[in-house]
Parts: sequence; structure tokens; C-alpha cells
Amino acid sequence: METQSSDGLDLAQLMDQIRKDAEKRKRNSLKNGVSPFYRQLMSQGFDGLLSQRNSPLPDLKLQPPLEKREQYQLSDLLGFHDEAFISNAYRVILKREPDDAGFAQYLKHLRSGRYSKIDILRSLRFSPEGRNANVQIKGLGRFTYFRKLYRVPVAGYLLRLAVAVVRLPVLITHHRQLEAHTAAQLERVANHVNEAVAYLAEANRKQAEVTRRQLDHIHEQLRLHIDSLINEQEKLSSRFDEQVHVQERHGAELQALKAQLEDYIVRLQHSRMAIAQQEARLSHLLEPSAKSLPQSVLTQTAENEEDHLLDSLYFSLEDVLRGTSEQIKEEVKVYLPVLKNAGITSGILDVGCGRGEWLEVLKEERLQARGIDQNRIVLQRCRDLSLDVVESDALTYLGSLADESLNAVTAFHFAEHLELKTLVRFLDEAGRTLKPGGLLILETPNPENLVVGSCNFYLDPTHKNPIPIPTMQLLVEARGFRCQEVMKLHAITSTKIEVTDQLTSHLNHFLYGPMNYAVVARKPGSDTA
Amino acid sequence: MTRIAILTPTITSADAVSNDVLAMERLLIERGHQVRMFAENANVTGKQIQPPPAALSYLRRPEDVLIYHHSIGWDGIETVKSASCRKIVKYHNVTPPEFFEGVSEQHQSLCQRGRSQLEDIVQCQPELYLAASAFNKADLTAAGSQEEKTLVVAPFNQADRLQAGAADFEILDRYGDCRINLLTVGGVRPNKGHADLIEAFATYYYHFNGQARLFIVGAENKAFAPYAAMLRQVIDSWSIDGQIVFTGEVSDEALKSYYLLADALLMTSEHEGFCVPLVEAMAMKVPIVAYASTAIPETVRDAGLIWDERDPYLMAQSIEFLATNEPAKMALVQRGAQRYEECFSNHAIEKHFLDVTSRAGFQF
Repeated sequence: METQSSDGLDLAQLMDQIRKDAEKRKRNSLKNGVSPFYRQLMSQGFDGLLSQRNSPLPDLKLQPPLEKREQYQLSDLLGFHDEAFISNAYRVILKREPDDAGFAQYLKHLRSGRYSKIDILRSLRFSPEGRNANVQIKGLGRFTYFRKLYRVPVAGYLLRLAVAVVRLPVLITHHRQLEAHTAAQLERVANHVNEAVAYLAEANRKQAEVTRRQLDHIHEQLRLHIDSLINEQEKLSSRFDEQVHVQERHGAELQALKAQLEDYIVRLQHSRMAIAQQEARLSHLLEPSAKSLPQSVLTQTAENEEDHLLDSLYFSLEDVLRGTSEQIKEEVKVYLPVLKNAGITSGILDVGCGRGEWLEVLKEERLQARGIDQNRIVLQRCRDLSLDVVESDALTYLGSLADESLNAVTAFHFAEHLELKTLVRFLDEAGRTLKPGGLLILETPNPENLVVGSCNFYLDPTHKNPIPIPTMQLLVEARGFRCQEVMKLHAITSTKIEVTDQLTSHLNHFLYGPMNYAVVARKPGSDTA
Repeated sequence: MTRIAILTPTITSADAVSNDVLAMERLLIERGHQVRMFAENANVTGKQIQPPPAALSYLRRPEDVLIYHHSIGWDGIETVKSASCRKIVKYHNVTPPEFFEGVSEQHQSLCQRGRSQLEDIVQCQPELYLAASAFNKADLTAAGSQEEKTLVVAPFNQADRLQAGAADFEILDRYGDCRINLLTVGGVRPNKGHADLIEAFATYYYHFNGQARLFIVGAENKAFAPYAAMLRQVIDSWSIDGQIVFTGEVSDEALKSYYLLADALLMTSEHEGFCVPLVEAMAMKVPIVAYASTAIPETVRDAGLIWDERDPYLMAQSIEFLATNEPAKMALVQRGAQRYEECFSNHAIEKHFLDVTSRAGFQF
């Protein structure tokens, strides 16, 4: 038997378990009461079953079987009656079983008295088939001559009458014989019926006895089961009471834990406030000490550290503001065809990479890319995902790159965080570092959607100003890029107003239109990066 | 190109031996040989099948090949004796005559003759014996065949046609409910152990799941009417006649539907020389529960639940286990599918057949 294998299935152990379960089920079952007949059947076996169909009473046969002989006398056949007579006539004269049509026709004539037995024997013997078979029946020929004379008109009738008169004593004897024979047969039938009735009554009595015993047995089994069920129920009931006590105890413990938890929440709030105050104090402390330090140290340490005070706050805001990582990953896949059409497979820089959703998508597509961000928490998440990221601000990082060293710069929800002056410097640095034909993709909230422009934009407290589409296009083109496409994204489809006229169409556009847009631009020069 | 005659008593649809014969014919023709089929009874469309004696005038040269499929007693053996060419005998096994006692005297005597003819076959000194299973091989060697000339090659089958073909949607609609559907496939013959199957099903029905249904898929032969009547009596005695469906002979589409519906294939047969339905179940990813009779354990190996004891509770508990333990069921089904691909797909059998025959000096 196979044991543990590569698919982790231990067949021997599994079958062992099934065997144990089956044994248990068998012990607990009411099998002995399910089908007594079946057990009886099986104990007798198949042969017993087949023989069961034969009753011990012999079949009632009112006529003896036809004896096989070399040659037959007429009287051998005349001793049979009705169906047996016709069947035997066929067997003897034509040496075959009767066909259905012939059998029915002869039986009809015989029963109606139209044909006598001798007529039927003659008809069979002198038919073409009978002549062929040529079976000799002693005594059948004797009557042939007379039968022919019977057919002569008038004389035939008189002859039949004369023969009947002459044969009258013989006929009377025959009639008496027939009467005695019929009475004897009736007696045999009556005896057989009586025997059958007695047999059936006895069989019935035995079966009733067996059934009664089986019912007693089932009754006993049921009683035992009911007793065991009552026992079981009592046990369960006491266990239930125990469980109720346990539940009550657990309930009280749970209440205590709940109170403890509430206490912890209050203390957590206090701790948060204390940390905020510490952060404020720290920034006050950093300010004067910064003044006493050389300029280089100032930029590298104190100022930077101050910037990271809000890292965790912004990280926790991001889920709420932009959506879950899974949603963002799905959304940014819209830019893959843009990169593909530009033939870009490497040299991609994602500015403000955040949680790295776009970098993940690029990695899955085997496109080489790097992300930069200043938030250390998101950067750590990116590193956990083995994404290539650098902690830096955009301008410093781009400033460190050589001219024409990138194929694409992407920045999603980045521009709206910048002052105008910084945005322009960012565009200039992107323009310097991109190769001719290089791609710039900037995605930002779309203030054309009134809800975005008036409210949602300001959900993120670090946003500066919304940038309308024409402004962004103008800025990008003013800094030397060629605007290739504006992609309007993330319209709300679920709650639109049903369009009935131009007004509702306008309302739909302003309330449910695209919530974000992206400007896709290229650095002039060669069309492929 | 070799001239080849394939000789078998009967070629008909829905019959394991006929499927083997027809696939063998197809393969040998594809490989460029001249092949003719000879049979006493034929009931397939689009095939020219000649009476057995005609094979002798076709096989004139000593290098010609006669492939004889033996599965029952008949006169065709005389043709094998008279042929003076090279011979291969494929042995599918013959049901022991005892099974037909009290059911069909005719089958009893045919099977009796079929078994005694094994010795006549050995007298003909074939160059190669192909046994459908190691179980069948034992019969041949007991009759006197040489061990080194007696090799096991599984029969070609129609499992790939089942996999690729369409299903009968009417059947799927009719029975595609939430009930547990159990299946057995094979002609309603006295060696198939249906009484044990019905008892196992009744045990499952009464002790585990009153929503179970059993399909008995297979042709009913008039010659076995007393057996069928006995089965119906057994079913009556359990009062489960509404839960058992005798489908009779079915089309390929309907057969596929029954496999698709089945939660398990149950096999309680008492005599099998190979048992093609097991292979079909493996191909159709239906888990197998069976009693370990004759060639059954060898065909399934570790890809199903095979019980040495004929105990209905073991059967019923196995069905319950499969119905409630999806991961283990999937692992078993996966094993079956793998076993089918490696050993019983027509492609694998073809490779094995060509390999075995070539080792015996036949260049097919």
C-alpha cells in the first residue's frame, strides 16, 4: 500500500481512518432492522433466490404428456383435448410446434364443434406440409372413404345419419366415458386447489411468524436506541448547563477586558498628544541649534529630520485619500500601453513613488524603473517589496543625474504638492535629464469635476493648489515639452443622473466626470526613446 | 508494409474489446500497413468486416500477421489454428462460467468453452501473447504460454473521446441538482456484483445521505433477464427503487454527462480482466471506490479507495469521506488523472504496444 507521497496524501492512513469510522457506524446502526428480507435473501444466496420462484407443489397437469413413438395410432391422439390436442397433432404430423395463426384457427373450429378431432388430423395430414412429412397414423385412413361420401349432396347427409344411428350405442358409451373423465378431472382440480390453499396458508403463517419475530427484534433494537438516546440527552443537558456557567464567566471576563481596553485607548490618546507636544518642542529646539551649525549640516540633518515628522501621518492618510494599494495598482495599469507604444522598457523614474504601486506593476511587466520619495515609511514598504527606491526630494535627485539619462519620468499626484516655482524647476530638470523623445507623465486631480475642485482636493492637507487641465498643458509646453495626450481618468459611473436633456448632461459632466487627469508629453527629438 | 488480419467474435459499439480492436486497426493503418477485420457478428457503420474463414485466403504469406482477440468461446479459433502466418493473441479474459449458472445456460457454455480454448490457443504457438492485465497474464501462463512471450498491454479505450466529446445537456439538466450522484458503468451481467453495489448504496442512503442517487449505466441483455429480475427484487427489498436509475445502453454524449454528474464511481464487480470504466473515471476526474476483485486493484493502484473486504459500510463510509473531504478527493482525482495520462491514455498505450510488439520482432 502506498504511504505518504508527493501530493501529501497518506492513502494507508486515510483508509485506516475510513475503516474505523465505518466500524463505528456499523456498531451504532440499526442495520439488523433495515431489511430482514434482504438478509434472508443473502443468506440463501442467488441459487436460493432463483429456486424460490418454484413452489413445492407440482404443477397441475390434466392431460398426460405425449409419448414419443415410432408410429402412432389414431387413438394416441384422440385421447388429448383442446389445446393439448392441437399442439400434439402438429408435433406428430408436421413434426413441429404449431404456428400462432394455425393454432388459433384450429382451436376455434374445435371449440365451435365445426371440426371434429379427426377432421383436424386429416386436414393436417393431407395438407402439402403433411404430405411432405408423410407420417403414418394407423386408423386415420379408414375413415377417409366415408368422409369423401359425406360430401355427396343428400346421399352424404343420409349416410351421416345412418352412420350416426348405427354408432349411437358407441356414442352413448363415449358420452359416459367423457362424463366420468370430466368428473375425475374436476375432482383432481378441486384436490389441487385445496392443497394449494393449505400450502399458502402454512407459508403465510410461517412468514407471519418470521415477520413477528423480526418486528420484535426491531422493537427491541429501537428500545435500546431510545434508552441510549435518553442517556445521551441527559449527558448533553448537563454539559449544556456547564457551558452556560462557563459562558457567564467568560462574559464577565470580557466586560473587564472591555473596560481595560477603553482605559488603554484613553491612555493612547494621551500618549499621542504627548508625542505631538514633544515633536513641537523638538522643532523649537532644532531651530536655534540649526542657526549655530554650519550651512551644510543644516540641510543634511536638522531640516530633513523636521520634514520626516509627518511621514507616518501622511502614510496613514494615503489609504483614505487615494485608495488601497490594490485599487491604485489596477488604476495605474492604464499607462502601460503608453510606455509600450513609446517602446520604453528601462530608464523609468517615478517621482513621488509613494507605496510603490506603479513600480510593482512595472516590475511585474519586467520594465526597469526606480522610484524616489521622501517619506521613509513608504520607502520601507517599497524596499520590503524589493523595489528599487531612493530617499530624496525630486529636484535634488534629478539634479544629481546626467543630461539625457532617462527614458521616462512619471509623477502621479505629485505636481499639486508643489509651489509654482518648484513645479517649473521640476519640469526643467525633467526636460534636461530625459533623452530626446523621452516621455513625461503627470497625473493630478481634475478640478473640472466640481466635487474634486471644491472639496476632495483639500482632503489632503499637503495639497497646494488644484491645476486645471489647460494650465498644466500650458506649463508643460512652455517648458519645452510637446503635449501628446490628455487622459481623463476615473469618472464616476455608478451614481449618474439619468440624462434627459442638455442640463442633466452638463450636470453629469461636472459632478460625475473624470476625477483625475494625466498629461502625457514628450521631449522633442527622436520619437522613440 | 505488413498484411494484417484482426480476428474477433463480435465488433459492436459500446464494447471494450471492440474499442480495442477498432483502435488497433486505426493505429496499424496509420502506420502504413494493410489491415482487414474479420468477425462473426458486426454492428458498426463504415467498416468492412468479413467472416472469419475469409481471413485464411487473405493471410497467404508466412510473414503476414494474424491478431486474434480472445474473450469468449467460439469457432473462430479454427481460423487461428489453420492460419500459417505469424500470430499475436490478445487476451481480454473470459468470465468464469459459474457466474451464469441459473441465469443463462448458453453463456455458461460459451464461457466454459472460452476458458478451455486457452489451451488450444497455446497449441497454435503464437509468436506473442498480449494480456490486458497481469491478472489475465496469469491465466495465459497457467494454460502453458511461455513467460517471455506473454506481455501486458492495456486495451485501447475511448476515454479520450469522452474527454473531448460533447455532453448530453438534457441529462445534466435533469440530474444536476444538489444530490450526491453515484455511478457504476458496465453491462448488467451476473459477474458485475450489482447486489453488493445496491447494498452499499442502500447503506449510504439510509445511514449517511437520504439525498443520494445511483446511476447504473450499461446495456441490459435479454439473456440475463433472471439476473435483472433478481436485482429489481433486491432493490424492492431495500425500498430504494426511486433512488436508482437503470439507464440501459447510452450514447457517448450521455455517458459523458453521467461521468460529469458523478461524485464517485463505484465498482463492485466480481470479475474483471481489466475494467475500462475505471480508466474512463480517471480520465474524467471522478474518484473511484471499489472492491479489490481480480484486475481492479492493478488497474487503479493508489488512485482510488480499493477495499479487500466486500463490506457495504466501507463503501458507504468512503462515499461519505469523498463527499465531505474536498482536498483529499481532489488529491485522489489528481492521482487518477496522472495515472491515466501516464499509463492508459491511447497515446501511452500506443507507445507501449509498439514497443512490446517491436521487441517480439513485429515491425509495426
